[in-house]
Amino acid sequence: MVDLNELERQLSPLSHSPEAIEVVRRACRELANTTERMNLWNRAGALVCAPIQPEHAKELGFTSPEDAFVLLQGDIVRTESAYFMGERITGNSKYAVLNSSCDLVPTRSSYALLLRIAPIKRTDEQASQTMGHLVKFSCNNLMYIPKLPDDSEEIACNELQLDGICQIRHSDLMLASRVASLSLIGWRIFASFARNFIARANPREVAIREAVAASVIWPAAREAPPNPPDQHTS
Amino acid sequence: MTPKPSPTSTSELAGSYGMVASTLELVPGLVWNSFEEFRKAGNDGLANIPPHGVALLNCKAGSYRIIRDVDFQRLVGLASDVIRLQGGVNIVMQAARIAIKHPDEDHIKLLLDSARLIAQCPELPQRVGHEPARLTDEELREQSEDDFDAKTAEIPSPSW
Repeated sequence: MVDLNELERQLSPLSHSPEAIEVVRRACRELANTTERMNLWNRAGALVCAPIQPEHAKELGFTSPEDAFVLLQGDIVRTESAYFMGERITGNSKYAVLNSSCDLVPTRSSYALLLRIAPIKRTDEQASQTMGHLVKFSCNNLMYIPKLPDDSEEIACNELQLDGICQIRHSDLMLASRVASLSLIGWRIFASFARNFIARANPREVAIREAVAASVIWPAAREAPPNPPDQHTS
Repeated sequence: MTPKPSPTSTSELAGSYGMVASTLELVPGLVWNSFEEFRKAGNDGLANIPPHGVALLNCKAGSYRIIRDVDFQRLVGLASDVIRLQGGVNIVMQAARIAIKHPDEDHIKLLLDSARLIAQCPELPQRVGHEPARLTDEELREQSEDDFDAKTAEIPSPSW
């Protein structure tokens, strides 16, 4: 059995780092099968929770100006005002907000980034296998999102896609319908996936860049005179 | 012969934007002439607003239209397309003003070219929903030993 509180404690120092995904995958391997993993992640508050309301945060004492928010990073929203590769996406589709919460404050930015959330229907040819993979968090560019309260009965689950980013005007995003927020653990997993996808530091890439830097004679070095005159001679 | 699936995206229409734009089909909904009348109607009153219906609440604070969130999102989405179109229309208007002031061949051509840009695109490109990613054969094989069946499984949903 996976203890979510213990898992959250392990993720806390690793949050937003690639190691966090490994911790989650290890925890998933402790469970016997897809059904057990699904039952863990589909609990209310495990990955997702009701949209976190600013009024609720205020009641809990978060009243300073920097605590103000309309949306939080990772919030799941429905909108028809987002664009992907120049196309406006209709069909009241779902998205996760990619921007950091502090950039989602009105007047701080003009545009925001969204990640697509595609529904997996029970009748989809690969539904069982896809769900099996998703609940293990085994794909680097897909994150499991359970079936949400406003999803129809034909939906088995949702997949958050990191391959491809949508854009939306900030003012339109403020009017989007909030479906859910991520739990603390869900937000840590989401942030790790996002960082892993956008800015992963591959040791081989570090080696390539170091080797290239060492092998290149930069123009400034080439043009510099072999024995620069001493600037400090009196 | 397998029938060709209908395109979900205007970009799939091979260079033609020939799809007929869907209309919002908003229809008049219920009318409440006081807040008390609205309060008494409660949830049932809201549920009785017909699909795509626009209800009207007249009360001391003013007149308010009530629509479902799904219709509201469609309206905001269309409004964001209108803002995109405005940019193109402004270019045509500017070209038209210049052509009136200087009706020479170059300026008439500029007007025609900019008008053609808009005429080629009566509907801005859009796509319905998101497609799920496809698993590779290897990924499918990895899951072959799990007996989970999404068609019949009891799938709990977090609720609040």
